[in-house]
Amino acid sequence: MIVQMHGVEKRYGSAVALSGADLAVPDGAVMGIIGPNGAGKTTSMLIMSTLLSRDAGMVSVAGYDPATNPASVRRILGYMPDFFGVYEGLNAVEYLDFFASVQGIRPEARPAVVRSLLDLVGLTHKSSADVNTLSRGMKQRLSLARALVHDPQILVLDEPASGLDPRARFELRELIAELARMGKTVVISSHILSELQDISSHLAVVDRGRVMAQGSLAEIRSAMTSQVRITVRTRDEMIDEADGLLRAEPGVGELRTERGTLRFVFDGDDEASGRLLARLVAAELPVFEWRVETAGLEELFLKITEGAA
Amino acid sequence: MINPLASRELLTRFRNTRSSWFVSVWLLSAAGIGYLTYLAARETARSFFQFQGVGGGVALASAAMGGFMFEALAFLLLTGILFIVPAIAALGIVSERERLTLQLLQVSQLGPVQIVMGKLVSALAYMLLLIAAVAPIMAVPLFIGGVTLREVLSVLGMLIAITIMVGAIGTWTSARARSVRGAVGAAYVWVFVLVVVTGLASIGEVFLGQDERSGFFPADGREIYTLLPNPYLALVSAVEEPLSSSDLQGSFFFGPSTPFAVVNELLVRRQVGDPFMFMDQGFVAEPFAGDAFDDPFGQGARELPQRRGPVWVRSLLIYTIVTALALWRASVLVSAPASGSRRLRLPRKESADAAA
Repeated sequence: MIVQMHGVEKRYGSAVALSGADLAVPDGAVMGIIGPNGAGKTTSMLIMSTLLSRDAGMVSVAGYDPATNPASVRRILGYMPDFFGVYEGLNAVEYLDFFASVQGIRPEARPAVVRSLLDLVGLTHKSSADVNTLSRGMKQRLSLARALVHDPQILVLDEPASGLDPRARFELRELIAELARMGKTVVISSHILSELQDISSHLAVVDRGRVMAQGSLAEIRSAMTSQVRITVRTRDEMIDEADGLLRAEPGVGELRTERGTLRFVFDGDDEASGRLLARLVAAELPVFEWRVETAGLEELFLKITEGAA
Repeated sequence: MINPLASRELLTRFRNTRSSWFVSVWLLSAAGIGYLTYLAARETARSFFQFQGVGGGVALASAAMGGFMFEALAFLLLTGILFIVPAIAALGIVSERERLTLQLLQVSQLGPVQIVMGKLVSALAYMLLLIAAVAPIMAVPLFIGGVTLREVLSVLGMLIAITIMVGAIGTWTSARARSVRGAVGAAYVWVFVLVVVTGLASIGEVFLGQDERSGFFPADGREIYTLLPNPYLALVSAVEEPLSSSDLQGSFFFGPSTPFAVVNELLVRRQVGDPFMFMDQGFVAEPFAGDAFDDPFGQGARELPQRRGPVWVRSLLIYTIVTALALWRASVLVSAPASGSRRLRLPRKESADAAA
């Protein structure tokens, strides 16, 4: 695990931000952190990025404690907050060159670094544009380039897609996928659950200062629920027969019929759903479509955070 | 290696057309004020020598004029520094916080000391440019007479020391504040303390330290500590001693620094008579110093007290300590990770988000 948090606690006065949070990010993973407002996502990211100290617990980033060895953590970690810090009067090249200089990159190496980063984020054509004039999506991509300027092993991205239009969101998603292919470990938070579902290899659901569930999407799904949604399409005139047969099967619930289509929730694993299909076929019901849908991230998120304010 | 933060600040500051306008206005003002002080000095010298009937000749009048001009320019420059430096320095860190770039610096390889020094250097570089720009005007009295190169350099040196201290204070208030207005306001409060509060406090200290029986001050030979940090006094002190021994001794010329010159003498001496009975003491000349201080009431028999070292040495020591403390505190305030008791200092609108 390249990032580990164990029993981390953090208070802001009387408000509890983190209450025994445990998080483990595997090397090379794209870890999506989801949770409602006030859950502790940003606090977790600030702590692992060396910007905030914890009150209790253990944190390790590539073996370094961010509280006691922040310089080592900063060498291998790139942080992108949920805002874009702008310096007036700098163009994109100068902006990245400045952040390359504060990251200790030698002057002679900076032009090549800046060029390659602008190329990576698709902003080469905006090299000489004042950063203030860039669109929000471009600023986010430039911000990502800034976080990458010292070629960090780990990227911490706090709500990178917030406020972006669909096109910019797509481009950012592609960029993060490219970074994952490059072997970077990415920790990303978002309120846009579908975004995380598409790009994350792992997920952590944070709520009320605790990590409620974490792991790969499949692991979380199996841990949280064994239910699947099944859609069956058959002949209109045989719908009643199919309905009767399915209602008699254990694990079938919430059955609805609609012009040759049956939809229901089935509580069982892949083998059990396979056996169910075999029963329909054995009853000589023509099955034109058999679609099994696992629970979506949104559904899981709502289930996990059930009862939150 | 140049601090990257300072070089970036200077790049953007001097690329800005406002800066070139400001420098131009500053220079024109300095030249205008220099000329006006020259006229004022000429008139004052003329009327004084007519009044005294000294007829000391052109050389003496010219020297007095040069001294007056130099003194007035030095005081105006110091006043300009005390108005401009707090504002520039106090903008440094808090403006990074307001434009949401401070966190980006904190997670970089720059340490807190480098961040603070980068901001201080960029603020001071601008002010030092303004001082350097008016240095030739300050040197004009050299050609008129009455001022030595050593005095010009002493004044410039003291101005730089004061600039650094006020810049450090501004940087500290900037690191503390969450808004630009708060940072600049706090910086001006500290300048007010340095200039006005020290002056008022010193009056109280004089009264408290006066020997009731003899009327001598101070009763136990102690210093007026409250006035030592005063920048105007430090500036006067920086040139007072050389001037006292100049060829002009014996002349009498009232200038802006006269009250400070009196106080300076008061601080240098271990014991003097009634502090409000001094004759006027000039910045340019120290005419009746011997009579006024050594034998204020014509008693003649009192044993001369031992003199202390010049005030500017003690002032510089105080400035060094204040500068070091301010920069140290500023570094602590911008260091990350922010500890539990010291919450992450974000602009107000960001604070709520950070808690999320």
